[in-house]
Amino acid sequence: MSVNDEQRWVEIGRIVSQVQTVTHRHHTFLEKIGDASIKPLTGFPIAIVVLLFTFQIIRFIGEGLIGYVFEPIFDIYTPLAMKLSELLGPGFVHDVLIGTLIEGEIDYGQSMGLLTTGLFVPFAMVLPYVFAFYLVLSFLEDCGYLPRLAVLIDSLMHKIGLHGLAIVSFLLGLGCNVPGALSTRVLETRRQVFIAATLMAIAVPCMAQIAMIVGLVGRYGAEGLGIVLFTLFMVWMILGYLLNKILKGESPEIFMEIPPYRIPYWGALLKKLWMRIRFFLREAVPYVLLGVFIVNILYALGIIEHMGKIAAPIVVGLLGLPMGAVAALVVGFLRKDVAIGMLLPLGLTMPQAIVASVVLAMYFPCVATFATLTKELGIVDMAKSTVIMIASALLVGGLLNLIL
Amino acid sequence: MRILLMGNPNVGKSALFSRLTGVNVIVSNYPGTTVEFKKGTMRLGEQWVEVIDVPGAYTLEPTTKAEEIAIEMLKNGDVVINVVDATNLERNLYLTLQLLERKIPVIVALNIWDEAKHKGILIDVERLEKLLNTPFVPTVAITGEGIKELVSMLSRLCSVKAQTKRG
Amino acid sequence: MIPLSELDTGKVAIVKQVEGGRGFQRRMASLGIRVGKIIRKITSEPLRGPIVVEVDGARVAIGRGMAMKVLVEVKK
Repeated sequence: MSVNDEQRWVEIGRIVSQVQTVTHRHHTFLEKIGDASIKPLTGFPIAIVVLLFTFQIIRFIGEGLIGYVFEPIFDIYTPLAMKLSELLGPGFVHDVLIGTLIEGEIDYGQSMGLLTTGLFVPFAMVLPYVFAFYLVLSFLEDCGYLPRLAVLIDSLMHKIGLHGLAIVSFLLGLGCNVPGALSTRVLETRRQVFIAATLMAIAVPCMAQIAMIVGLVGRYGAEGLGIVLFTLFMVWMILGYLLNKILKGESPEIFMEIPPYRIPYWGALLKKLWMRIRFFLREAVPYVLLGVFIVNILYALGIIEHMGKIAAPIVVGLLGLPMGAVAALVVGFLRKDVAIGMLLPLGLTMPQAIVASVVLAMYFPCVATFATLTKELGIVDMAKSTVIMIASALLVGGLLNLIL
Repeated sequence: MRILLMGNPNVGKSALFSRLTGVNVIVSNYPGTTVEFKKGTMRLGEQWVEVIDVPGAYTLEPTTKAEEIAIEMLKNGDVVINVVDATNLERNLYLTLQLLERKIPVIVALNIWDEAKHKGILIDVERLEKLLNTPFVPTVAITGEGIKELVSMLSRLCSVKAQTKRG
Repeated sequence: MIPLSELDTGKVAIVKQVEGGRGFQRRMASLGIRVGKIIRKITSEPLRGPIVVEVDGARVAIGRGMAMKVLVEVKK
């Protein structure tokens, strides 16, 4: 240390001894839990409880919002949309705005119109879970749990070429991959950013995707959903391990302060939550609408049929999915939630639904994430990352098709 | 007029920022870098001033990217609110000392004051002000305690600053 | 003197020497790891994971390799 640093510390020592008296210094209750959640013996069980609890709360709030707020709103909205449907009469404009009526009624999951599915998917299926997720995450962030989780799993993260703090990026990515990808910037080296961003795009489904996968695979019970999430988790670990082995370089060690547990200041927490929700609405809703719009155009022009013929060997042969899934895979480049929504009417079997969910999650990020990653990684690295995505998606999808 | 909120990480800087500013908060990147910071506005008497939540820094001799940015931002600030964790005065004062070595007015917010009291840490604020020759205000950002005092101290400092600028 | 990485959990020690470059020393000092400081080891994470110490009432996580460069003397 330079003389200057040393002088300052001496000066500080002199000041502190004059102004500060410590009367009693006993360990508080929060400090005790604080330490318990970083000691491995107690910390890992606590982490599991926290994660399970988090999962339950997200489900509770998400389902509650859908059942008691958003569905009732759409119940009021339906007659209005039906009126518009009558006014428009059959034709292209009707198909784009309202979509196809199922047995003379609007079916928000299947109609595929801008003013039906295009609004229902982002607001009534995805937003409630995004809200619930960010609420819980912001709480865990502000009370000081996340740094402890980072320290606990630091050695595991080093096995995949990252360090503990990267877990925060992945957790953010579970909400939406775009802020998740942006947050990989805090990692020290380019290599870490590349690994984290690639893993994020491939194996971390965003809340929009998860909500829709629950709708698609959850119909067959929890087992199918478990298989999808477990597969993605394994891909995350194995791919991370391989990338760590293949790419040259080291991952720097963790060095940080672990703040004490604190009761969050709700004003700041709600402000942060609002900024995240606003970001989601701005990023996601336009793309969902664009996705729905493009689906209609592609169908109207007969392009989907054409692409179906080209992609048939892969989609039908390798992945065992019906021809109808091709359109979903095309739209998946834009928005995953819309894409999975398109699979709902196809009547997939459980294995097909699992394969489709996994492949859709892995093969390519949504367009917003893709744009963000390209900006962060540069075109060359993004191209490499894309090759890894498509190759691993086809490999894992094909394997699942064989196994299930 | 631009006010910079500076301090070590995890000292309640964000909560204080939230207390001082309204809803119109913009998150942006420091030009040419990937470090984010928050910008907001607050009313000080007659005028609106800009408040910036500078990335957390332990020292002005940069050891991290965030600290490099903090130093850059310091060049364009008019007043610094140095947020200090009262439960860990010694470590936090290092940055305070470095800030005071520069020619910029500094108000120190002795934050987390309640927890310090609870932990039995007594700090002689007047003595501290005399020794360092700069105002110290005990605050609890989470409950809002001391914020009023901080703001009135700030407006006094800012009006002095504005006058010297004009003169 | 032993490296911090070898300190037993729960033990209190005095920092005697911080090896490595000036930047490294500065980084350590900014979080309170500097010569003369009293630290207590809280825990070490499995699989050669980081070490957590208490210094000035705060908790600091330090990677194992870094902890090897901090030499301490156990307090009796």
